[in-house]
Order: sequence, then structure tokens, then C-alpha cells
Amino acid sequence: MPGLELRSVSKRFGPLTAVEAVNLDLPAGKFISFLGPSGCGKTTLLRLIAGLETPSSGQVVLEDRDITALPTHQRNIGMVFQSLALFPHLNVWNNITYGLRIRGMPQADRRRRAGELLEMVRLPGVEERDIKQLSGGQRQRVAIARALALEPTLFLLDEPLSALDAKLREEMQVELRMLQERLGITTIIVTHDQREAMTMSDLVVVMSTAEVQQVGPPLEIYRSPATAFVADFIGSSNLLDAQCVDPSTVRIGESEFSVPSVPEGARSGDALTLTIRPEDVHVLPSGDTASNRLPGRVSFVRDVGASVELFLRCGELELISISAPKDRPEARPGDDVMVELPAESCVVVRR
Amino acid sequence: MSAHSRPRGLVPHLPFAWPALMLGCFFLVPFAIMVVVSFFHRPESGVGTYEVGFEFTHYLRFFSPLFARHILITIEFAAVAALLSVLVGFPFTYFLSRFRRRPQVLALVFILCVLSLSEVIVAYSWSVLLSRSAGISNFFVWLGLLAKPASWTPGYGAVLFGLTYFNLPFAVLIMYPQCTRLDTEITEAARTLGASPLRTFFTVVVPMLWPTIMTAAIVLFVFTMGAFVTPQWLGRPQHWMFAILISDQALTRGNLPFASALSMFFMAITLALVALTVRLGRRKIER
Amino acid sequence: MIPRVARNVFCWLVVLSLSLPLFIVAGVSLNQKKLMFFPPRGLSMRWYEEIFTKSAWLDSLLASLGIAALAGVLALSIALPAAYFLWRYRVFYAKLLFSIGLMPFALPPVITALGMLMLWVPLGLAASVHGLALAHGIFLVTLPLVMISLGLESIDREIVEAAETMGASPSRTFSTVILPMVVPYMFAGYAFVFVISMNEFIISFFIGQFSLATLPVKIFSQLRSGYTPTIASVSVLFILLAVVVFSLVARFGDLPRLLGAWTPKER
Ligand SMILES: Nc1ncnc2c1ncn2[C@@H]1O[C@H](COP(=O)(O)OP(=O)(O)OP(=O)(O)O)[C@@H](O)[C@H]1O
Ligand SMILES: [Mg+2]
Repeated sequence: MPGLELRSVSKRFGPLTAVEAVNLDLPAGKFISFLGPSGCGKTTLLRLIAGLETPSSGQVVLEDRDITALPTHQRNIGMVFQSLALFPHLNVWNNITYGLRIRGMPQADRRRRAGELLEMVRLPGVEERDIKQLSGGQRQRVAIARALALEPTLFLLDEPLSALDAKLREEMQVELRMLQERLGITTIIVTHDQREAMTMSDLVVVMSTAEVQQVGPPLEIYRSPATAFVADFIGSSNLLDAQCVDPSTVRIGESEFSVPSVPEGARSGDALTLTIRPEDVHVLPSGDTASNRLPGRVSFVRDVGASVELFLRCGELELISISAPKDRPEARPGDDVMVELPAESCVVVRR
Repeated sequence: MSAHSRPRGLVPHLPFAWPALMLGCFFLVPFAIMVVVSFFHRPESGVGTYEVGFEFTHYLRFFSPLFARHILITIEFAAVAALLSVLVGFPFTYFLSRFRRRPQVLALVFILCVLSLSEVIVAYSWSVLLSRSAGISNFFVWLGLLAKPASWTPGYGAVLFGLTYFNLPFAVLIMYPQCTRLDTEITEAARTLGASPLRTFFTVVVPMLWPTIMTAAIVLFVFTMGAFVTPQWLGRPQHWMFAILISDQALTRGNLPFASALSMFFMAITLALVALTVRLGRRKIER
Repeated sequence: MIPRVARNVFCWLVVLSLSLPLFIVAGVSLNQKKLMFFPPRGLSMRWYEEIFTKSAWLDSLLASLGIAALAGVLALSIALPAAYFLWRYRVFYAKLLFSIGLMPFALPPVITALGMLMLWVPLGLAASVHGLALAHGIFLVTLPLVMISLGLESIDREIVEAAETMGASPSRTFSTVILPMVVPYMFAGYAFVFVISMNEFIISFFIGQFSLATLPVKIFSQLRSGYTPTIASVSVLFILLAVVVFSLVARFGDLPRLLGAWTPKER
């Protein structure tokens, strides 16, 4: 099914380029996250899709229809704003059915529909309340209900959960995901919380300044980041400067490491980056020499309860290893150890 | 510092003393004098004098068709001019508050300049603009809309134009702060819900800023009630508003007790109308 | 987009109609003869010279300037402590004082004028520059009062608390933290009082008692006795004065902010 397509979309604000030549092909019915650091242009990209900004160049295509010039109010989208943007002069049910009123639905029908929508977001019985009388989480639900009232083709959310406390946020994440699965509506959520993006979405779009770095399912992005930026941004990764030796070997300092592959077209001597997740770094007792191992020293141990983090120094390199408490290596600061980077866990990307 | 601590002792009260003294002596005392004098006796011959006394004679003089007519025309002008200036001023202010910074600052400087113009200058420039020899009718003749230049002053329309013009910059400045505070995400939300810009303006912007609009209308109404120069120059004697009568009694005829009584009456009417408007405005919101 | 076009057209129309009378007056002021024509017939600057050479106009100009300058000082001296006191202690009599300070703008000004007249005459303040400055300072106190309050409200109370934890007494805190932050608002308030005092009519008319005429009063009486283009040239002078003052305010201060603009995202 055709979904949403961005064709080389750019947006400039005067001298500043907020979005640079973004190409995206997002399938219909999926839950998609835009993930990236603050100021990278996620909101701008979302607003371009909503028609709240006009692209400086490029096209926005929805279900095979070019909607670049279509004004927002004719796009049939539902959007939840960062500030929620609930209308303070209307009560809950009038907020929710604002769009239906614009379309001329009679009051009695609207009232009934508001009840259904509130039921759907699991907040029944607050129809008559003022917005001021709701808690943060309740407002969130009202905003979601309002955005879904018109059964939009696209459901857009700009960091909708960032104002909630940690517990409520997790609850809402689960609920949002369940709701989306039930309705099958194409949903795009903007977030800079990578955990949120990873746990909720079918597809993650990772952005760095103005550009899309990688698009893919969460696991793929996590397992094989396309660039050093993605590797660094998605979870904490160890990033090691490496040189290409041959298609299955790289050199780090003096030692050679076998890796599953190197980026296509990389030739011997090219500068690359070897990335490896902290949880894939194994720490063994000193002396067990073998391939893909480095001698090192523990510089710091951080026990965070659910896991144990070892900060390691191997000559010039600094590495972090994370392990579950039950697999905790017998190591104290100052101990000499052997650090193993298993070949199958190494991902080599261009620098 | 706790936000709501109480001032204790003499020293913390020092910043209170001077303003209280000045406003008390030179703003409240004059009012007290006016209230008292409005009951005083005016000797037959004395211009600008009064004798201590207590009589309602001055208040009883209101019950004449002349005063009724003037108070009615005053209210009419004030209400219509306030309404017109809010009607034009509100959309203008709202759009202005959405301008980018540079044009916004320029527009504000312009508005401030127009605002600071003396009522005398405004009335004068309108009398020029509406005159036969130098006025806008010449321009209409040039455009072919009019056969020959016309004089549109003095007249009802001229007074109304002048008053509205005088009010408009005030309307903008009163409504400006709240207009800037309306979050753009609110109107954008309405747009995503399918409301056209015009619909958004009437279903979101106007209702949300309704209290501000009401405030501006009331302030301007009170303001215009006191108009003095504009009706005198741009209107005929039947268009003279109440301030002219008060000034006439106080300065030309030297009847201070009667002028005071007129002022009290005038103030009472103004306050009553304001109270009424506030009530009606509130009911509209609740609906 | 059509709505944007409509919006711009509307805004330009408003600006245009607001500036129309100004253009006409400027044009009329350039007439060669003592007649009111637009477009002007024969250009001349003599009506501008006349303001500065004819003593009647010059006296009025100087009186107006003096009154405006003094009134600004007086209004600030009342508004600053009153606004500070209310901001610092939200006690009921501070609120009362503040409301009294708002009253001049909540009543038809002719009433204030009459009341003042009846006090000023027995005190011998009528028809004098300082008497009128006093009247204007009181009447226009509302403007700096509102502006300084806006400025104070924009100060984060934690900043003040920070100064106090560092050992600053209330008066030190005021002079080293609060005052510097409200200075732009005081400056703007002064500019407002100055310009509006220059243009104020009804109070000047009542208190001036026909013997001390500020420029607007002078224009008014001149118009009654007969037209002269000096009226137009004085008006242009006034407009220029306002342009200069407010451009300066905009140049050295954040004008939207001084007028109470505040976007939710800024904080
Ligand atoms: N209307 C605008 N005018 C000028 N610059 C803008 C505008 N909107 C956004 N920008 C700039 O574009 C860049 C991207 O902004 P954007 O809001 O899209 O970032 P973001 O990824 O959503 O950040 P955050 O996570 O902090 O919300 C920023 O540098 C921002 O300053
Ligand atoms: Mg954002």
C-alpha cells in the first residue's frame, strides 16, 4: 500500500537549512519514529508533512497524490503538538469534536462520537470538564482523541510524551502502540528518546543536523548502524578508529581484528570506524591471548544495579563494557584484563 | 525572599509613601473637591466662584431635553467609535503579532507615532482631509468617482471617522500583549483539524481573545466618552459631546458647581455602562 | 496562498489610512501662501521658520517641552516605587495604590481635568509650567506604572533570591539587580509620558487657564481665530518628534517586549 513519500525535501529559514534534501519512503499503516538530537530538524520535517511549513524545494506525496501545495486543513491529518495545543475556551468534548463541527456534524452525533473517542483513549466520563481540570496525562489523552476524531490518513505526534513522568510515559507508549495497531493508521512520532523510538516503532528514521542518516527497523539500526553518528546516537556504542586491511579484517593500533564485513568499496588503508555495543564487549582474565582480543586495564567500575559497567583502557583506546550482574567479571579498578571484541558483534562503518 | 511577605516597620514602607502622598493629594483630593462642590451654591453674579452650601439644584438641572440629547449622542459616538476601532484594530493587532520581528517593530513604531498625536492634530488633519480644498474628495474626482470636490466636514461621519482614527492605535496597544501570547500551535492545531484560516480566526482566535477584545472596547468607550476636540471641530453643535458642555460650564460660564455636578453625573453614567458591558461580555463567554 | 494576500492587503490598508492625514498635513504645511491646499501650491519652508521666530509659537514650544520633561520625571518617581512595592509585597493597600494609579485612564479625562482645576487654582498652581507638569505627571502616571510592572513581572524571582543568598540587603538587591533590569521599561515609560504630555490637550486647556498655552492648546485657539499653515508645520514637527523618540526606543530597547509581548516559548 502506498504511504507517505518525501522527495528531496529541503527547508531553509533564511541562511539556516533545517532540512536538507530528505528522501523518505514510509509505508502505510506503520508506526514510524523520527529520532535525533535536539535541533536537528525533526519538528520541521513533521511540520512539512503536516503542511504547516512549505518546503523550500521538493515534494510531499501522500498515497500517490502530490500534496506539497495542499493547505494543512485539506490534508486530513491528525496531529498532537508538543504543547498539546488544546483549546482553553472549549471543554473536553468540544475540543475533541472541533474538527467534526467544522465538517457540520450535528451536535448530538458529535456528543456521542466524543464519548466513543474518550472510551478509546480510556478516559471515559470527562466530556463536560474544562481543560484546566485535567491532569497532564489526561490532557495527553484528550489531545490524542481530538487528533483521531476525523479518522485521519496520517497521525503525527511531536514529542507528545516528553512532559510526562517516567512511569506514565511508559504506560502511554504502550497504549499509543496498541491504539495504532488497532486502528492501523500510519503514525509518525518525533522523539529524542531513543528508548522510546526503539520500543514503539516499526521503523526508525535517525536524523542528524538537517539530514536523514538511516531508516530501518529498530533492531537493524541497533545491530548495524549505517554511520558512526547512528552508532553513537543509538544507545552508547564504543567507536574505535580503524583501518581497512582486507574485506574481513581491520587494524586497530597494532592489532588486527576480524570483522563480518567492511563497508562496500572500502579499500586497504581506508579510515573506518569499528563500532561495538558495550554489552558485546567481553572482559576476560588477563593472559588469555587469542584473536580479536586486546590487553587492557580496568579504570573504573560503575554498578548501576541492573547492570555493571566497566570502563577499560587499552593503550590509547577507551572502551566500555556492560554486563548483567550475574555475569559480572571479577575485576576491580587497576586490574589487568583481556578485552574481547567478538567478530560477529563488530560493525564497521565509514568514518 | 518569599513572594508574599508583608512589609514590617517603617523602612519597607518608604517606597509606598511618596506615590501614596502624590496620588492622594493630587488625584483623590480633586475628586473629593468635585463631589463637595457639586452640592455647593453658586451666587448669581460670581464667575468661577461658589459658596458653601448643600443643594441639589445642579443635579436637578439635568432633567432637560438638552442634556438628554447630548448624553445620548455622547454615548452613541463613544459606543460606535469604540466598536469600529476594535473591529478594525483586533484583526490588525492579531496579524501584527504574527509578523516577523523587523516588520513588527516598524509597525509598532508607526502605531506609537500615530498614538501620540494630539487630539487637536488628529481633528485638524481630518478636517483637512475631508475639506473641499485639500481633501480626499479631490482624489476621488481625479479617479473619476466624484463629479466635483465635496466638503464632508462638519458632519456625523466626520466625527465618527476622527474618533475612530484617534482610538485605533490605543486599541492596537491594548490588545497587543495578549495577541502575542496566543501560541501558534493552537491555531495550527485548528488547521490540522480541518479549519480554514478564516474559520480558525473566528472559532479559535476570537473566542480565546474575547476577554481582551472586551477590555479594549470598554477602555476605548470610556476614552471616547471624554472626547472634546474632535466633535467640536468635525461636528455641528448637535454633535457636541458631553466634555464640551462640562468645559463650557467650567471655563466659559464659570459655573463650577454645575460643571462638577455634570462631571459626577457623567462619571456615573460611564461607570454604569461599563458595568453593564462587563456583565454582558461575561455572559457571552459563558455561553 | 490567498489568505496571506488578504491579510497583507488588510494590514496595508490600515497602515495607509492611518498615515493618510499625516501626509495631507505635511503637504499643506509646505504651501507658499497662507491658504490650505493639497497638493501644496508653491513650496516653502516659511511656516517652519515661523515656529522658531514668532515668539508666541516659540513660547508654546518651550513651555510644552519643559512640561513634558518635568512630567516624565514626576511620573517615573511615582510609578517606580509604587510598582516595586506592589511587586515586592502583594498587600491589599499596594493593590489599591496601583488601581488608583490606573484610574486616570479609566475615566473620561475631562473629569480629571475639572477636578484638578478646582485644586490647582486655590493652590496657585494653575497657568504655570510646574503646575501643568504636576498635572501631567499625575494624569499620565498610568503609562510608566503599567510598563514598569510589566518589567518587574518579567524578572524571575529566583534571580532576586540568588542575590539575597549572596548577602545583598533588599536595598542593595534593588539597586544592583532589580533596577538595572527595569531601566529599559523606565526609559520607555518616560518616552511615553514625554510624547503624550507634549500632545495632551484637555488638561492643558483647563489648567492653562487661557494664559499658558502648550502647543496643542495654541493650535486649538489659533484654529478658532483663523487658519494659518503654521498649525500644519507644528503638527509635522510633533510627528517627527514622535518618530525620533520611538525609533530611539526601538533601536536601543526590545520594543515588542517593552509593550508586553511575550511568546510562550521564550521562557
Ligand atoms: N520558524 C523558524 N525560523 C527559523 N529557524 C527555525 C524555525 N523553525 C526551526 N528553526 C531552526 O531549524 C532547526 C531545526 O529545528 P527543529 O525545531 O526542527 O528541531 P528539532 O529536531 O525538533 O529539535 P528539538 O528536539 O529541540 O525539538 C533549528 O536550528 C531551529 O533553530
Ligand atoms: Mg522539536
